[in-house]
Amino acid sequence: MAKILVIDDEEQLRDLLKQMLSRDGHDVTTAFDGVEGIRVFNEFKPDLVITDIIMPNKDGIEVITELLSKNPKIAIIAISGGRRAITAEFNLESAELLGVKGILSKPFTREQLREAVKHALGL
Amino acid sequence: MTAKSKKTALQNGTGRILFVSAGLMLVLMGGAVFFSPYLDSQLGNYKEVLFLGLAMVITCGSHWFLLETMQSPQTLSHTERVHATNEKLRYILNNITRQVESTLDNKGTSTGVINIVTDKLAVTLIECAEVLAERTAHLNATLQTGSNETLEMARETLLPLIDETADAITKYLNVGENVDAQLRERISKAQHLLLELRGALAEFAQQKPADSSAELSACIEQTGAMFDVHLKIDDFVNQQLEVVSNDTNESAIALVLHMRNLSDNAENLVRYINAAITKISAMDGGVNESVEFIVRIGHFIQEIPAKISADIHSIQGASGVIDGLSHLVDSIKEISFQTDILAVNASIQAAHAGDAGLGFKIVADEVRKLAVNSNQAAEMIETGLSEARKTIQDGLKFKFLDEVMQQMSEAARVMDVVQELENSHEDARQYYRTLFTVINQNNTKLAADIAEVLGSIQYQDIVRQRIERMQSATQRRNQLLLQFMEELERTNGHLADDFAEQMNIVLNDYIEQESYHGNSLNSDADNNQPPKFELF
Repeated sequence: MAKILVIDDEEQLRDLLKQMLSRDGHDVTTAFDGVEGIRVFNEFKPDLVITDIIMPNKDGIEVITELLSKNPKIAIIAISGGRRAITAEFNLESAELLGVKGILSKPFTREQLREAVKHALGL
Repeated sequence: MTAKSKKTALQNGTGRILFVSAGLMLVLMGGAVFFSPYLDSQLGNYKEVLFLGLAMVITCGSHWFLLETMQSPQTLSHTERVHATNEKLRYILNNITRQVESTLDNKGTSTGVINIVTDKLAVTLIECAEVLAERTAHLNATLQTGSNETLEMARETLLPLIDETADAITKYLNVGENVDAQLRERISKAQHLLLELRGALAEFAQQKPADSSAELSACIEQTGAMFDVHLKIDDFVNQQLEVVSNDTNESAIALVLHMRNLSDNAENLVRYINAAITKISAMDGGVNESVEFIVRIGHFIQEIPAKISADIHSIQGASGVIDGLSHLVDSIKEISFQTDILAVNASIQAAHAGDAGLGFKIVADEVRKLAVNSNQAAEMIETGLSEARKTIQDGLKFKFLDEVMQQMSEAARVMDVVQELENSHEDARQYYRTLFTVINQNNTKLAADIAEVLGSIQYQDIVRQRIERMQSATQRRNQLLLQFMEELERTNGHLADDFAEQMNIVLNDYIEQESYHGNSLNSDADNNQPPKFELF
């Protein structure tokens, strides 16, 4: 199965995603913000990155831009629930325009996550 | 002996033979005309046979001499030998034709010499002889200008005709029972002679040109080599044309795909930016409301000192007026006091005056009462003014505080509004950052796509240059071919320059020029690299 990096500032969701993906047999590592996410990415070299958009220090848009500039073929799934005036729709459309392989609007089901991962990994 | 002298000798020899032969024939014909009545009476139907026989004798004799004259073919050149053979052949055929025609002409005056079958055969024989004459003329012409191949072809068409003529003669002799024995013998000799000539022609064909064969071979070899290179150039040009065709096709498809991507990306970006503009307007509306509120509170806070000052000034003014009225009360009190003293003094004076002063005493008492009353009224006014001052001050104080409190309660919302504003600012910052990142990335992608499109368009220029190189190479080749033809004509096949080598140079130059320039689009695509741009 695949090596997956989950980047999200919400600890509960982070842990939940790790649990769900690990249960499907993936090797999962997490990071709590964009800066940490980039660092872990360089070490872990995952097949897939699942990143939240609104995060402290370095947001998901910056993470996606940086990762895609390094490797345009890297598989990324963007997740977002929006915040105040910034809607999830806007964040996810932005991520899609940047070239991510999949988007998920929070909250999402386990089945939706599984389908998105499968599609992003080309399985 | 030179070829020219040999030719002249041959011409002289054959000329003499032909002259003698023609003279004899004339004598024969003159004799036939002159002695015709006599011979008719003496020989009857055998007269024609006699003349035909004599004509055949003259013909065969001239043939023999002619063949003798044309001996020693080894000393003649290839062309001369063939020419002589043809002359000989033509001469024989002409004679045969003439004799047969003569026989047919005399048929009307003869009976039973030549029957219908032999007439037909004779006609066939004449036709064969005519065609044979025509073919030999063609062979002659071929010998002058034609190549070995065409010469061979002409010879091959001539040989069957000789056979056909010989067969016709055989049939003529076999069927024509009434043909005179002498004539038969002469025609047989002619047939034999024809077969001999056939053998000579076959032998001649087997003989390769001796003197000019080396030059001719070299010329043919060089022509062949040039032709090979010519074909190679054509092959290479065709390969390049195929490459150009494929590349142009692929370039056009790539162009269409790039343009479609460009269109899709631009459309998505425009839609995204339009949505963002709407969202930004909504966000700006919220921020504007907050800002307007803060500005309003700011104005209020700014006005507070002025209001306080104005209120204090107003209060001070009112107090001043009341103070002014208090001074008036004091003046009234002073007037009352003075009036009371005056009334007391007046009463004393009235008492001193006695009865005369009674009336004055009454007035004095009344004035005194007035003074007391005035004093009491002044006291009352003073009390009233004090109370009024106190009331004004208290009233102003409460009004100001109420207003302030009202404004302050509204101002208490400022913190919430400022918090909202900070959130809005944070959201706007995040929003714009995302927006600009997406637009920037997409613009970069669009720029890359446009560069791809430009690359595809520019490749058409490379195609143009490739075609120009083809044109240049084929022009050089054609020019060389023209030079070759001119040289061939000028030197009569004795070529000095190595045209094949020059043609090879044209081919190699062309291949080298092609190798200097970029290959097809595929080579770049295979390497997964962006298309190379060549500046020209």
